[in-house]
Amino acid sequence: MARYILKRLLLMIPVILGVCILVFTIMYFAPGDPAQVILGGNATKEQYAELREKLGLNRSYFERLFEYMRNVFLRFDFGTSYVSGASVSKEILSRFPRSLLIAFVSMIITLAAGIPLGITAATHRNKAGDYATMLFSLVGVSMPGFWVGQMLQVLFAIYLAILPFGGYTAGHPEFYVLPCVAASIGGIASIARQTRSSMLEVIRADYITTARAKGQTEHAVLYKHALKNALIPVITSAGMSFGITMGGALVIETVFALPGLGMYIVSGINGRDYPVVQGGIIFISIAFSIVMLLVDLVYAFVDPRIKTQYQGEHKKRSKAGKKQAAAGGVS
Amino acid sequence: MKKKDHLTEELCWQEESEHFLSVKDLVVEYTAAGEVIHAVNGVSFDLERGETLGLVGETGAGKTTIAKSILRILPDPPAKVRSGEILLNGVDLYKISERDMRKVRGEKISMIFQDPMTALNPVMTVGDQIAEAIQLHHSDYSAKEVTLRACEMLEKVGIPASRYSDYPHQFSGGMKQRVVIAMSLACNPLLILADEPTTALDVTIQAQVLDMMKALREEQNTSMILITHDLGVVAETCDRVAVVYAGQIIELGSKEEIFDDPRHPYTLGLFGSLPTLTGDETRLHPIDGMPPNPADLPEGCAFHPRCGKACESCRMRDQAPELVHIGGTHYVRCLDEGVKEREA
Repeated sequence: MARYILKRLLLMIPVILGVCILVFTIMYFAPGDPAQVILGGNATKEQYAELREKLGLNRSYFERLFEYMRNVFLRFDFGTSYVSGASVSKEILSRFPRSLLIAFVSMIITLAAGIPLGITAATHRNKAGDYATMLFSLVGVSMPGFWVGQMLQVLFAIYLAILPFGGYTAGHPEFYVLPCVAASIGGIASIARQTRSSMLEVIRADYITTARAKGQTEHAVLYKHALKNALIPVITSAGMSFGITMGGALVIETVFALPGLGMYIVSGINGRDYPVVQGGIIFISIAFSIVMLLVDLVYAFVDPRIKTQYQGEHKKRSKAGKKQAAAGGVS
Repeated sequence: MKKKDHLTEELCWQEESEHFLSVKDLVVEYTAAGEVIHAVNGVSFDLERGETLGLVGETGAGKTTIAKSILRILPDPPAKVRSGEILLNGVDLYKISERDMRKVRGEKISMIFQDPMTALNPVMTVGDQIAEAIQLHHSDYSAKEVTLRACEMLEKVGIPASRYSDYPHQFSGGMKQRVVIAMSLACNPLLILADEPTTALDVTIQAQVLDMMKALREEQNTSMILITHDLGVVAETCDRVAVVYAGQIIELGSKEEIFDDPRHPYTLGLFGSLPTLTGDETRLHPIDGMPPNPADLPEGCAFHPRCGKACESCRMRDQAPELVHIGGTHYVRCLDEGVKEREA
């Protein structure tokens, strides 16, 4: 198992390198010149050239890429913002926990609401409970998060006036409530659908009949035998939706003016602030890789067959390698 | 708690009841896409303590449905028990509450399922699955006693107790089937419903499993209903045989009566389709035609379209044959007088 985790961690290196190069390249070719954005329309040609020189914008693509990669991977330095001159890594580290909090809390809301809804739908198949749940999830999937966020603002911040409209003050958790709810609606809907279909499939399995034949109560049959099996595909989609939630949080943060990583990246994109955008995206991709690794580990925890597979992978690989070598020898 | 004791007493001590198990006029239907499928059409039989009854018939004849309806684990919907009584020591299992029925399942009656590959929960260790059955019916056991008993059951079916914490995917098919058997025997049930327990196994393992089941049965004086389409297995294990066709018993008798003196054309056909070791045959002799569509059963005798002896009256709706006693413990469901009187 430790071997598997190590291997996965090592595999993250090329992924992050790739993301780095890709993001850098896209930003390089993106139209718009940061120097122009910074100085505005009234600057002289000399001022403009001076700033380009200072930011290193007049060097070649490869020079700049090499320089950037060296700074990021050897010094963990994402550079400084063109706009504010502040260190990007510092800014990211102070903002990232807020985005992560939104993503985590809305993930928990998603699972805590979506799974029971899915189970209800499955156990009340083709009855009112099923139709109500599926109608809700259809509506939930169809509503974009930013729109839900604005509607929540209208309802809770303007009409009921019980929650803040947006913004953030340290030490006040109420600023997170609406963003978290807005970010989880879509997830709840898709997790509910996933749980329903996978529950319906599992309920028909022979081992469920076996459990009933033992004299097990219907409740235990559902929650002890069926649910654990039904959750296996749900975990995958939950892991994926964590990534989507992280992305969605970027938009949600903008709606609620919550100073998280998302708002930072969005403002970076608008201001052609390359170091900010690159740093932010690389950070998110690392977080996403780690979450996907965690999902795979949870998998192994829930499904013993996958655990064996992880443990056996090394053995199989070496066997397959030998086979291939032998086949190569023949041809 | 009191209610349970009451029920347990009823099930165990009503020795004056006529039979240990009697199934009376059981009718089960499935509803699928607006069509009604007549799976079981008036099945009746009795079973005594320690006796093994073989239910023989083609796939789709309704054998498994009969067994599942005894345990009341048919999926509803689509399955529905239309009528009939199932009496265990005189207690009608369809008149007791679901809660009491749970006490019957596993403890009084247990079932061995057809396919060991899918009958075990893939995310639970085999030991825990056996322990679950024990723990459900022995609330007085401590966790340790339950584990010990589960280990004991594993050893009994020839699996080392050290494999308690292994998962089903780490076992071979034969071993899985033994786990399933250990699970169903764990609470010393009075009746075992074995649904093709050996079909998924190869022949050597089959013999092992059958021997094991026989030994365990004798040890505990358990009754058994063995569902199979393998006449060899029947000959080896059963005391009595019921031949099932289109959801009806068409011939019922002791093993000797059925094997030495089969009467119904269908039973004869079943034996005829077996290869003989001595004969010089190059081809097998299957029964002509296909089993009837249970959604659209033939009128009259359900077997008449495939029967060589069928006459006009066999096809008539109001002439459906009854199960008739023809001597000894032998019953047959046929209109042909010759079939019933050939004994001489």
